[in-house]
Amino acid sequence: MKQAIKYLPLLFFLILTITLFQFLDKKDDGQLPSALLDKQFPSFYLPKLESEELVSQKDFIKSPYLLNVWATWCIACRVEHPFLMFLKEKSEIAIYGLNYKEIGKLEKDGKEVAMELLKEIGSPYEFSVFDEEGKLAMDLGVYGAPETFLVDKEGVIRIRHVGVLSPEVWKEKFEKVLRELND
Amino acid sequence: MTKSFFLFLVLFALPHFLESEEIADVHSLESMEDQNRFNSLLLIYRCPKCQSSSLSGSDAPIAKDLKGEIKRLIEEGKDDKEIDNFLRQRYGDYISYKPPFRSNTLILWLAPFLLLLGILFMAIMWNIKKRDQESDLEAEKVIEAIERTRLKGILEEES
Repeated sequence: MKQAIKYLPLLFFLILTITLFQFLDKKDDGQLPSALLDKQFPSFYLPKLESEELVSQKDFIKSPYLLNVWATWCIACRVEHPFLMFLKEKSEIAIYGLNYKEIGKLEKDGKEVAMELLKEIGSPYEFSVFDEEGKLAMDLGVYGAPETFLVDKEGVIRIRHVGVLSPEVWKEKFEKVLRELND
Repeated sequence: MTKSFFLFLVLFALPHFLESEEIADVHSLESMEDQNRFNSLLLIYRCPKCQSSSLSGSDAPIAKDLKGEIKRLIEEGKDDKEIDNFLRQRYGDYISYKPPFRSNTLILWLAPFLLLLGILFMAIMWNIKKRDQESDLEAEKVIEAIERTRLKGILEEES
């Protein structure tokens, strides 16, 4: 018994080392659990990016849609852009944009900068909401771009994805839920 | 021993002192009371982007926005509870350093007490065992003494 107790600290140390060692390889993807999951999409009243027209959550389609948070300053948004275009071409689902805290450049204001980029690389969006101050984004709990929300036809948020929407993420996270929603 | 123990304590408390000495935010409020409230609130909520830093210690754009929002809420006369609700509704429980007391956080809240109970139990068991050993030892001594006198008696009888 006494003999065993002598080795207890060593055992404790080994367990600690092994436990911590396993965390070394674990990548922290910074995903926070969303507070808005299964809640109603927050109401808002903001201008469109494409015009001066004001829109609200009622202007979104009455079937499942994606809301994609993007900005021209967001590098990762460019990474997922081709995939969003692919989804649009396949007309898999309606995609709306939330232009988040756009920053103007030189003579141009935020709107012009954003429109220019969309003209250049193509727009996957039905339209984008222009959220210069990040008000709607704050109501959505957005803390960076890109983020993508899947909203059902009742306007309830079903999925929130933080980070690039890759084909893999689409397959693993979105497809199944979307199929259920469409049934 | 006590000296090194106190040194240990001070070293562990050091980060706390550093945290509370973080520079007050540039957002300035009119009354000193509101400003103090604002500063203390920034220490309890964490930046959602850089998750190991408080709002106060973060320069991330989202932290700036949240500071502005908290300032606005204070100016609107909202109390701490309402501000807490505002943040939790949007960013979840994660935004606060203080986790709520719920079924899935039960272990978090109870673990220290369970640990304490466990240690107490072990300490008591150890004490009992020690006392038993001591009384065993004493009994042995008594028996030894009796046997010795008996042996002496036998030896004396023979001689």
